[in-house]
Amino acid sequence: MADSKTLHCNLITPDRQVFECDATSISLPAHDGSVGFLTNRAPLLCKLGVGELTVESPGSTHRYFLDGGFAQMLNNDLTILTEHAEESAGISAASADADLANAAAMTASDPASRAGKDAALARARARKRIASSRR
Amino acid sequence: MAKSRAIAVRRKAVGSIKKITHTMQLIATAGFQKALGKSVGTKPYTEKITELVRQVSAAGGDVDHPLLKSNTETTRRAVLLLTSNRGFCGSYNGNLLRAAMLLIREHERAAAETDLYVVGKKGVNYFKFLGKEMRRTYPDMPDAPAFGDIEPIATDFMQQYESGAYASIHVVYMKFLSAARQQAEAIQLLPIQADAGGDGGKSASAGAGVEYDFSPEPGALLAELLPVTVKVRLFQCVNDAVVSENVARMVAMKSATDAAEEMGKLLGQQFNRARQSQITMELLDIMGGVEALK
Repeated sequence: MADSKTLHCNLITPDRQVFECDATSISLPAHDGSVGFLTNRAPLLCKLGVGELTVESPGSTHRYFLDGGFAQMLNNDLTILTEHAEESAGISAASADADLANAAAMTASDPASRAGKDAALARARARKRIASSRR
Repeated sequence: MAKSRAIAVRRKAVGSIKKITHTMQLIATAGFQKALGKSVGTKPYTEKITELVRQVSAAGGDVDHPLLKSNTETTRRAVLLLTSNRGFCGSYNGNLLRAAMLLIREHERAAAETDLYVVGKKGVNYFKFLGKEMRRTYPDMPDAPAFGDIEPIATDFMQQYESGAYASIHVVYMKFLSAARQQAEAIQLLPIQADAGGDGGKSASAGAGVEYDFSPEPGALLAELLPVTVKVRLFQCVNDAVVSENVARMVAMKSATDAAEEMGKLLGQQFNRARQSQITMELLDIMGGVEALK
């Protein structure tokens, strides 16, 4: 368990536990905007959106790109469940650009495919933002 | 003489079969350990999702979700059968096919039509042989599927269910109970049953009584969580199936190796006996000749 100054963070995907550490502050993309976490935050259950998870721990910062999922905050323990987590450092500008081009080229003729295209566009834009902010 | 030579040939063949089955056993053992590790790695996600569903529904997230309602307009049912791509795994596929056929007959008795969805070449070939039509097969499924391979199947099923195409959707797979015991099992994937969480009230007390901030409100959150539980459930079935397949192959190859060893010993005895009697006969021939010359 984390001591009084830190909170424990756990990032889990269906395939494996991606990452686990004690952090001083965490910022994650909720469905309605970015949410920050410090120690002793009240219990929270929220749906996640597309964006970047930033975990500040003593001595290092970890960044991951998340696409949807859920977060649970309880007793200084933040559990993030997502189907897709990717280390931000691994996203190259070229692949982000290619993703965006692919998403823009998707056809959107009916509501279902339009929703799919919107989601792909949001994903691609978020990845591109992450890739370009690193430079 | 011809007989001993024939035995020698067979003995050699049995020897190489033994080598092959032994190698396959080792490969299956490695595959089993890998699959088991992977299956264990998926546990945290599954457990956490189940816990979240329980907490959200405890907080009054009572929803009228289409995945919970039963479709009464149709009697048509879907069965997803998970078989292996390759054989040499004992009764693994046989048991699965028997379980699937039982389920289909049960549906027939209830005057419900069944649409078959088959994963794995063994299942596909079986139904082709029977002349039974399959709605869809998944020939590109890898031997150890990742969540990304399973997710589209689950999404497709959920869409079809929501559109009212099926009254229920079932999965037939080999449940992994222990390294010594696997069981062909049919579960209902959709509509979601109340006890789909599996472990009942075991961890119900974990977060009970905690006042959460919900974002969005519990009803909407639960509606988002339910499709995830379906995906996770299907993914678990597939993981179990992969582990069970490797165990079944391991066991089958172990007994094949043992049988080959046994047979090799027996053929060795037969060969020695045949060679000895051949020598004895030659000796008798020579002695007979000597006697005749006297």
